[in-house]
Amino acid sequence: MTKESIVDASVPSAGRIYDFILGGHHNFEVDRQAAQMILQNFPFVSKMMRLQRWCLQDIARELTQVRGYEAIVDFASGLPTQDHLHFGVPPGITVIYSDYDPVVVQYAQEILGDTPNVHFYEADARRPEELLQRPEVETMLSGKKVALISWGVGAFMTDEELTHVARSLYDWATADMCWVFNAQAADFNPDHPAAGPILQMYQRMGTPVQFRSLDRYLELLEPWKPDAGGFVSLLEWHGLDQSEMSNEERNTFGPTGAGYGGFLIK
Amino acid sequence: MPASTPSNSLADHLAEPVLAEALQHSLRSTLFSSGLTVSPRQVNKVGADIASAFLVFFENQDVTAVQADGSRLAHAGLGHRSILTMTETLRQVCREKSNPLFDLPNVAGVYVNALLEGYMAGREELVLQEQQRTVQAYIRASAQREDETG
Repeated sequence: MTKESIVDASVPSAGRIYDFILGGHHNFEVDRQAAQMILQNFPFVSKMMRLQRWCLQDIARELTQVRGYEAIVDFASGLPTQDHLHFGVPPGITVIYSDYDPVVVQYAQEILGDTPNVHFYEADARRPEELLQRPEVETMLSGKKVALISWGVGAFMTDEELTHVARSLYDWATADMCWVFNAQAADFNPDHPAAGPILQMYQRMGTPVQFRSLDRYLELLEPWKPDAGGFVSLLEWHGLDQSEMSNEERNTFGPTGAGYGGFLIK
Repeated sequence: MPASTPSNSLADHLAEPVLAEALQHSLRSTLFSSGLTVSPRQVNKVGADIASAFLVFFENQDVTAVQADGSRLAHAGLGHRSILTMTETLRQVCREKSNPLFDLPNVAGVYVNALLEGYMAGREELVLQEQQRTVQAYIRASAQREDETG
């Protein structure tokens, strides 16, 4: 996908579809039509996206108030609205957001204004080293215990890209760092009859979706290992259970609903 | 044995925890219709806050404060189905607890109208704000892209 196509408001964008399904207003008619097509075939997608997004403040609190991290670097952040990481951290914690979409970056910078210790950069989550090697980022993170986050983006990376991301972050990280990862849409049934048109639509947008199991995710994330808590389903994460899903939704998305989340360590 | 007299304390007729629990239950039932920010852990706080705010309103009748609460709920991402379900629950609880000493249904009506008015104003403000930010972001991103591509 080219940068020009992202800035083009006449074609749907995966980010703006996500925003619409979550109830935001940073989207256009073309995105809403695409979103409606997804929701007609898979109404559960709106639940799945909320389950993912609700985790962010839990993660922020866990990292900073329980595990003692002093800085967070988040890849493919989306808009830093009121539910995002920096609302869940104590003052003084450095939060570095990033996104591939230049419009999101501009929008985000306007939302954040002069919010202390919170920064937003244009960067591709598939090449995290580019963000981490920016001189100003290196300066901000120097001497700090850093947590990395890739949340809600795994299904938009190929196996090769995910392997590269895991290796880059592993090589960059020191022993006390961690990587919070969402095994997005793990257990989804790609043979579902309605899956084809959705996959084709994302393919046309230049953001093809990859479906893989949790085990496959964990293979690709090596040499990172899950911490003692392991990966938990997002339903379980929020204290919900399968009663939130219909039989059809369970058959399509698997018993976990929206995949898994966990903390990876070296 | 002395004859019992009706209590003139509102708390004896409408206990805050009972109201909070009813509101929390209604919010949980519409969890997935809310926007981004109201997570399962947060709905209990929203329910408790509204229960408390309603009892304060019963004493001070401060409509402006209730409108501000409604606006805040819109900005916090509470979905319209959630607020409608929650306010209907509030009205219902007040109808059930109605008695000659406290005109709870009428107070609830005034409270709900003010809350919804504030909520609608907050939603409109949010949409317009986001619209403006989107336009500005596109203008800046396009200009930046033109600079980069020469």
